Amino acid sequence: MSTHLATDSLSAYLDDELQERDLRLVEAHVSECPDCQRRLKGLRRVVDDLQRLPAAIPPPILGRHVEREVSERWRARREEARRGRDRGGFELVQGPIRLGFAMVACLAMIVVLYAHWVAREGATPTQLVVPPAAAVEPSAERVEAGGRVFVPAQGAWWQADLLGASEVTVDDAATIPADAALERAPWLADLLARGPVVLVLDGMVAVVRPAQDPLPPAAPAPSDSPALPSEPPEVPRG
Amino acid sequence: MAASNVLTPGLPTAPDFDLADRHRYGDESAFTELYDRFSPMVYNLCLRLSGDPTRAQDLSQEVFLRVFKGLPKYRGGSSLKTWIYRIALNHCRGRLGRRTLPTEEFSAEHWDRGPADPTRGPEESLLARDRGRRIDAALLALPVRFREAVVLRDVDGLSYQEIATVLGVRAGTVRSRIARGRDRLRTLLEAEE
Repeated sequence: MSTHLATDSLSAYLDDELQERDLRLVEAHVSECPDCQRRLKGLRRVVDDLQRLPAAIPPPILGRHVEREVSERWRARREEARRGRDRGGFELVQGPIRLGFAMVACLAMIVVLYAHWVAREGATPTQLVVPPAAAVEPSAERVEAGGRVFVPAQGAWWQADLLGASEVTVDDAATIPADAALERAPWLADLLARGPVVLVLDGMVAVVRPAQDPLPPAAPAPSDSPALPSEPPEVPRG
Repeated sequence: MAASNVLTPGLPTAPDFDLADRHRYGDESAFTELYDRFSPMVYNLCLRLSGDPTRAQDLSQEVFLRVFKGLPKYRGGSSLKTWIYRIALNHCRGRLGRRTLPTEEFSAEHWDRGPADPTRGPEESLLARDRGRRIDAALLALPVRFREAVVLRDVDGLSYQEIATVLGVRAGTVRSRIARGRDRLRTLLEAEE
């Protein structure tokens, strides 16, 4: 015999893992080849020896250790399940759903905060266009009240020393209801009866509107008192 | 072993699914059954791969804790036996690596403590023990990939297909590794005689 069988074939022959045709080829070859007979015999002996190796018995301490560790894990699981029930089963909600809830909650909070900010800070301040001093007719009535002089312009009674300022910005909060203004400056009563008043009140420029604003046109002015225009002062929003 | 699929080795059996389901739904006795059923298999594999009884005990414990953790995810792609073998083998590979093993010490201690074979006479028993000690030592001297294949086939009795599943290789590779492992063992043992 010039060639010998591969170890793969001899080993697979021992395991009965060869196809019928290969099986016959191996048997035919081995019957005539002393070298392959010897190798097959050696392999068979190895397999027999391995199969006869005594199985080791797991030591009892292994079982005890595993049992202790597993008991601990079961206890932790029960504890986790109990906590889950205490939380109303929220832990049953899967991760992505939880994430969704959290995102919606955050978004709602952002919207509420933004709305609050807009309500508080975002309001455009009222801009009051102050008429120039020249807009008041020299013959216009001048009313003195509370130690101040008021002149009619743009449908309101203006504190005279305000006129001439190029522009005064007034917050909405500076539009004071008549009641509140009268509590602080009772002397405004007569003037308010004749129309809105723009004055410096508590250090701030304030627009005080009569309770029934818009007022009907002021009572017919005496010949020396100009009638107020029917329109209230222009208070454009920037 | 109670559950082996006679018709198609390597496929899961009804008891495999039953055990996994019971464990998944919190039946603590299921894992006890699993341990009783598979602990000899796992311990022997760890012992043959590590060559150290103390090490084998630690490895086996870690393997069962991994099985405990992974069992709820077992979906029956293979039999429970094959699935556990795979976990054990991967765990041993990770923990043992390619380090040198205490072959002689393990083999001598193992065979001296082993039970006597009642079917053999005293002289025959002595020879068998000597042969067993030498084959154990030779087995531990094999490269890991050959030792894994030979142990799974000749010591644990898995089929080629089951070994392929456990090792994650093709059946042809299994056949080759078994053959080369056996041939090296033959050469080692014949050299000693």
